[in-house]
Amino acid sequence: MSVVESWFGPASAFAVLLPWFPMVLKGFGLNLLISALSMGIGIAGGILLGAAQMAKTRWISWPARQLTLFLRNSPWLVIMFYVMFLLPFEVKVGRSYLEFPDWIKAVLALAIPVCGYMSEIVRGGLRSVPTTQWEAAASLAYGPLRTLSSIILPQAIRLMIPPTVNLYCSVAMATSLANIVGVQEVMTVTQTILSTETRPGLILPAYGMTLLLFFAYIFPISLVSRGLERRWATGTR
Amino acid sequence: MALIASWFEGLYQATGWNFSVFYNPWEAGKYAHGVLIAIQLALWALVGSLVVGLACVVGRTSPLAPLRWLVAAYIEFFRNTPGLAQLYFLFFGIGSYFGLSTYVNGQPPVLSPFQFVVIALSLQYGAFVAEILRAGIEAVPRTTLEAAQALGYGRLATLRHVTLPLAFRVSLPALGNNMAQIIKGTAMAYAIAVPEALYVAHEIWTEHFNVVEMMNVVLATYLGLMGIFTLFVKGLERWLHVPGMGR
Repeated sequence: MSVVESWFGPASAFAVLLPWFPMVLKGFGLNLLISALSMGIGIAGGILLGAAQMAKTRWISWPARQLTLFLRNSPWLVIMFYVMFLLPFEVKVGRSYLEFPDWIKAVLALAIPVCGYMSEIVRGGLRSVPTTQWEAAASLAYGPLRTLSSIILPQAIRLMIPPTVNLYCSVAMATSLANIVGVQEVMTVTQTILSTETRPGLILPAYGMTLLLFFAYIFPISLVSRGLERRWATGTR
Repeated sequence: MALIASWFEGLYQATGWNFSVFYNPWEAGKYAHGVLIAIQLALWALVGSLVVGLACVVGRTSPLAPLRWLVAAYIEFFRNTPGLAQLYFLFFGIGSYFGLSTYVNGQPPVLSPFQFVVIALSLQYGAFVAEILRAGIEAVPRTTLEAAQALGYGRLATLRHVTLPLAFRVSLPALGNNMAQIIKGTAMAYAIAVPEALYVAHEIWTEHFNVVEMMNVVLATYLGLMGIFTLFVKGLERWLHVPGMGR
């Protein structure tokens, strides 16, 4: 058998896996959906939490700080178990039952640690703007909201975007954890294919394909993040 | 100990909260062993990731271009793919293909699941360590190197006495963060049935249906480990502090 035939011939792993590919892509689509939704929720929650960390009264900033630390220190997988086992699989709305599919639980589970990481990014971004900027704005009679929106945020946002993009990469990678709790994401699909085909020679290429799929999606995004970091690097360090 | 046990037993009778690990000696021993396994995983992976990271730093400065490309490709690949997918690839893919993780002719597997997790974590976080160390080396000021040169230090002596000590101190916070990620990453071992804390907790709650209680115990365990580790890193940073560098 020639090399080409053994790699791409009718009996090769490639030929066996090819018909399954649409199903794999569909599974990966669910990964992307989970990552996008949980990132969205996490950003919203993280901005609130980060702002609370910057509050002037300790009554708000201290609990926010502790909550951020707590969220950052908890393993993603443990949080995933929490949400999976402790949320009901359906909620009663009025008389009807609203189904609560496990992929939505995965979204919530991933959004929780993202809130903590985002909170820290927001705090870091806001703190990186020199105090003199706040003082200068105050002396020019800018109100607190105006100061934030037209002076502080334009400077802080540049420092906040690259780590946020990096965080998204982590979230996209963490979606694979949903496999352990049985969500039909790409790794679960791969396992289903492997148990259907029952060919031990397929295991290596099938998992390799999953790895490559993740790499093909995440690597370009992390390149963009690095590019932004380099372009927006300021000489203030 | 007996006091704690009887208190938790009383709690179970009074409220129905069944923290069985605190009063059932068999389960307490099992869970303690699980925590020990998690700590061992983290420590071995720490050593492994540092070795891999240092090897990458050396490989990256090699005069052989293909070796440099290989190291760069390795770092990018392992930084941009999920740890769990890497573990599955290594354990189920490589492990079964080369007969490392399965019984071959009645012979026990060459590598245990525990060792596979250590290898997977070392490879994954070693790639991060490589990047962190590189950033640390780049952060050593050029003037310092020139000063070392002016004092008659050779290339290797500069590396050993000037560059690496400074680079290590600069990298320490990032290395600490990375180690924290490793501690959290050990929970991944659950996926291939290594009896670490999460897996043991799962075994216990399938027996007693005390999911909520055991989840809280697991979370408290990890937060405790992280807390101890954070204190350790802070102490190390203070001990290695260079006057006049950073805050």
